[in-house]
Amino acid sequence: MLRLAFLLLCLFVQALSPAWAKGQRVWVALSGSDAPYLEAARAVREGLSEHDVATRPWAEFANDPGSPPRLIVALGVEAVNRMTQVAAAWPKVPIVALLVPRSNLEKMVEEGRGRITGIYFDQPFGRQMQFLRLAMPDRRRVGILLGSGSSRYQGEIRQAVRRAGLEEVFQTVEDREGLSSGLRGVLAKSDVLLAVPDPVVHNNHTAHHVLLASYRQGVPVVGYSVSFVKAGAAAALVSTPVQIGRQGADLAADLLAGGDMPAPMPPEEFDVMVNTSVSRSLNLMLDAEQLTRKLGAGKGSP
Amino acid sequence: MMRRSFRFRLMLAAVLPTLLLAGVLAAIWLHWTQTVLESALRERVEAVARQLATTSEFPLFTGDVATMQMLVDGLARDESDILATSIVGQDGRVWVRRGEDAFPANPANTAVWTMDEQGSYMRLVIPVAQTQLHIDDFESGAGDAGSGQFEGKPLGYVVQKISLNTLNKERNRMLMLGVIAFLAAISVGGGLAIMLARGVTDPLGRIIAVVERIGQGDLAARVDLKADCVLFPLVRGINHMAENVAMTQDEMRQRIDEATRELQLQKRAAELEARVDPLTGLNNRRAFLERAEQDVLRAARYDLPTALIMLDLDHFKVINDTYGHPAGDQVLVALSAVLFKSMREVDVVGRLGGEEFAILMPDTMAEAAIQAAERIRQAVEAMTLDADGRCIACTASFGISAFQPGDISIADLFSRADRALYRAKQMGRNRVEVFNDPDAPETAT
Repeated sequence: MLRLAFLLLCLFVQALSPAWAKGQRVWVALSGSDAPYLEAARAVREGLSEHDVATRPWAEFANDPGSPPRLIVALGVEAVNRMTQVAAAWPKVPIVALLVPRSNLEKMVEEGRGRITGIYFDQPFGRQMQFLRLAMPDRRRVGILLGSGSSRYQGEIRQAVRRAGLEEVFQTVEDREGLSSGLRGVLAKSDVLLAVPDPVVHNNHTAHHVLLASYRQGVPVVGYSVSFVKAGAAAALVSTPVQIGRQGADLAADLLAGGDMPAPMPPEEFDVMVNTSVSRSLNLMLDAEQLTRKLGAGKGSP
Repeated sequence: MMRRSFRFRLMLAAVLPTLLLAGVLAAIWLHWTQTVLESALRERVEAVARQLATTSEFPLFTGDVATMQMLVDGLARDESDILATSIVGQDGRVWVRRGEDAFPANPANTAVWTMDEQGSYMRLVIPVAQTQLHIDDFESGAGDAGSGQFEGKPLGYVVQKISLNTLNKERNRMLMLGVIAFLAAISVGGGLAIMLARGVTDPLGRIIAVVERIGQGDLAARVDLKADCVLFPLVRGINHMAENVAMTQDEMRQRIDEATRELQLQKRAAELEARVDPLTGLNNRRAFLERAEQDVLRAARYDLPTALIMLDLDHFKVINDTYGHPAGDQVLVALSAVLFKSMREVDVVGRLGGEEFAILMPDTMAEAAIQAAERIRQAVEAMTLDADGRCIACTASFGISAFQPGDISIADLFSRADRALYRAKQMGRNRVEVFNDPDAPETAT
């Protein structure tokens, strides 16, 4: 009799667990104190307002872990790396990674470093193609430089390009020395260069050359960040830290409520960024507002 | 001698500051021009090289040899000092070059200057850095992940070889200029200094010469310089001083002359006094002899009778020893009084010494002289003197001689009178004897 009562009690407790999902302990670990991280963290906090959220630089969590939280949200590559190390002792604690590139995140998931998922900032290729069709309908040949980080997406990209009725031009770059000839090759055959995040191809040192070479060939570059656009990319689809933070909070709340761990996902909300001087020099009529509307940006879209 | 060293010293004092100043300025000028010229060249060349590095970054990245060659050629056109320019890749491969040069083995990550041993050229190696852009919104993570292989390594290098010919020429020119300016400054400054010094040493030399002359006794020496001379107060002072000294000297000479005259007068007075016997008031020996001599000469000339009486107090020494010298003096004085009373104005009476007296009677025959002598003898005999209650009796002996033709001086009369006196003494004293001739003396009673 007692055993049954106990069993019933357990079931009851289980059923109530969604209610108990509120007020859980959540860590939000930051890679740094730059504005993007702070904005994203605030969005996460606001999205998890019912829970007990501790927002700190990752080092503070790492130095004095104490008792484990219910869930960890890590913002930025460094925080994600460090937190996976810290949480190695707590295999049950899920980690939600935000503000990280797709290749990084997916590699981590593959390596099985704990229960990890997250929202990467790479835009889905379908969305990129839709944007290209709307913004530069005359430019049909899409050039992509692939490196060690992005070459795994070659198939995916090809599919998206073909589905959009465009033509793809790939060049794989092994190392720094190959970048120049790779660029030359791809620019010769493309009307637009789509920058896919990759550490070898697109970084602070190579960006100048990529932009300059493309510009000289009259080939606009579609980047992946606000900084990239400011540096000279003609346009970019960018998800802001706040948008990502919001989405991250939803994901975390879901997990806290007992939901399954999904695979890493792209951002749903995004904005259209345009560099007016560059686009004007390249004779591109890009109207950011119009494009935003047409694409249904600001809210989720395929 | 001293004057020359003094002038030299003064000139040195005037020239030395100029020398020092000119030297310091010249040193500063030289140092400044040497260093400034070189650093100016370096700055210019470095600016050109940096510009080339910037513009060749992209061609270097794309391996665009044509553009690189164009850039390098354009450089050579503009800069004549540049002997060689090369653009070299990270691995040391020379992409383009203009002119002959060697690429250093271990290039640094910053601009490096080297110089060859002879100092004929310099080399500048500047790394061509990759321009860095920020393309990531989130730092410390994604974008930098792959840039590890890019960190700290330049794309390549720009190497410039510069000739130092122009620089050295300029430097030498500046050196020459500096030396010339220095010499000119010294000459002008030195010349001025010497002129100024002369303005002092020349008048000073004249002054010194005059002072020396004054020192040697030439009180008439004066310094002759114009009032506009810088040392004029000194000149004026010395001239005044010399004048004062001269005046004082004249005064002193006058005073000395006066004093001398005074002294002479005094001497004459003294001499005059020396003619009178202080005790008796009679002529002293000299005075007597002088006057007597004159009378004898007159007698000889006009053939006039003259007589000489010599008288001697008898036993005078005894009187002195017995009654004392003051008593003796009293006796002499009494005798003188007798003589004064007895003789005429024209007679010359004198005390020849001690107790010896003499009377010269001009215009007098022997007989009258004898009578006079007799009278005096009696008067002397009658003298009574009181010395401390004791009575002194005195007598005198007399010797007379008369002028004889053939006598030419008083000495002749004296010798005869003296012999007569001697005879009187011998014959018992208190008598009068006359000298007539050697063989037959006459006796008076």
